[in-house]
Amino acid sequence: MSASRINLHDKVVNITRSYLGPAAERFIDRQIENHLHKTPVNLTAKDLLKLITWIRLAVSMLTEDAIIVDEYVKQLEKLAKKSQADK
Amino acid sequence: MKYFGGAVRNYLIMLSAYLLLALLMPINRVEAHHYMLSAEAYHVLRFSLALPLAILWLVAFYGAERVRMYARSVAKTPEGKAYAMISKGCSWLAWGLILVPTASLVLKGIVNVSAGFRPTMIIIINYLELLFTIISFSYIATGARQMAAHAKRTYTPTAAISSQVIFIAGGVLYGYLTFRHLDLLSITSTHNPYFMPVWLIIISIIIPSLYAWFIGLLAAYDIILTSQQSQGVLYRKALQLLAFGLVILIGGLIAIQYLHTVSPRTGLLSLSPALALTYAIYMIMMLGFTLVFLGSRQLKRIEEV
Repeated sequence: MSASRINLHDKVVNITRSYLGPAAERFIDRQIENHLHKTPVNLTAKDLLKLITWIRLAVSMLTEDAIIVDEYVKQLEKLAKKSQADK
Repeated sequence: MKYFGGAVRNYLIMLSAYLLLALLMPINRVEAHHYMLSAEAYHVLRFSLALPLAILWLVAFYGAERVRMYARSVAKTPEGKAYAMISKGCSWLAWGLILVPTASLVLKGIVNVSAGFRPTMIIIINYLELLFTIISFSYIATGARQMAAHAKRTYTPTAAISSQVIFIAGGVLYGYLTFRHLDLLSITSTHNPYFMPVWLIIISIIIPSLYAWFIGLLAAYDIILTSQQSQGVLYRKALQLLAFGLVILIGGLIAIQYLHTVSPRTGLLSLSPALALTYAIYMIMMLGFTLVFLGSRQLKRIEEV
């Protein structure tokens, strides 16, 4: 169970790395800690949709390019669906 | 805005000191006569020449402060050390831009009451400018190398060769233009615009300048390389702004130093094309600091949201 939780966190970070580079892990950990009030390793598939909402909001503050935001969120939503299905 | 308190305070102190000195330091009567200026008009001219510099210094202090704030926010991350070095380099660069003209103004004031001090003044200013360039380029180059190493970026053979060719061509041209001013029949002669023996100019001005420019160009290359190949589309955009800003600053500082060595200082107010060119380079450097400001602001925002 623990391994799959870590994997989910890593998968989110890997997707984010394409947008935020070396700041990706720090960004995701901050979103999880500040908005989900959890430690990043405890991220579950159930948390993902709520996390995606916060990520969309945060990334929209970094860029006005809606295409980039949508593309990023779509990838995360795909991961959320896959994680729910695996569960 | 409150974060900029230190930068604004430093800027206002230095600007006030400079403007006060421009008003209070004794005028050069020969120059005033040459340009047919009264003492008041001479002060006004000196004041107006300081205004574009005042804008440059403001942008420089803000830019350097932004980089410092970003470097502090990523201090504990793997790339933290690299940004700390770049931040120090930017601070030295900003301080150099304001301290060298201020020292120059004070020393020129001394020359205006004691003409025999002119050679000493020119020697001090040449060394001061070189010192700030070497220190700021050393910090920026170390930071840029660490950034490139952290991102696992290395030089391609083509890039290494082309940077060497550019450096050698620039160095040879610089040597040629500098040696035109020197009496090469006697290496101990001080009858030149630098007021120093030829051997000392080569050892303490030409070689250190070439060294500074070499590490400056390497830093520019490392920064561009890292920013272009960095992962993360939003991070890369912000880093590219910072990188282009730094490259403009390095290029601008090299151009200013090149100009001051090739067209040596006289210690006199000279409304010449060289002065216009110097101000044009300062304007370009203002753009550089603006890009540095925007890039580091965006990078810091990524660490905050």
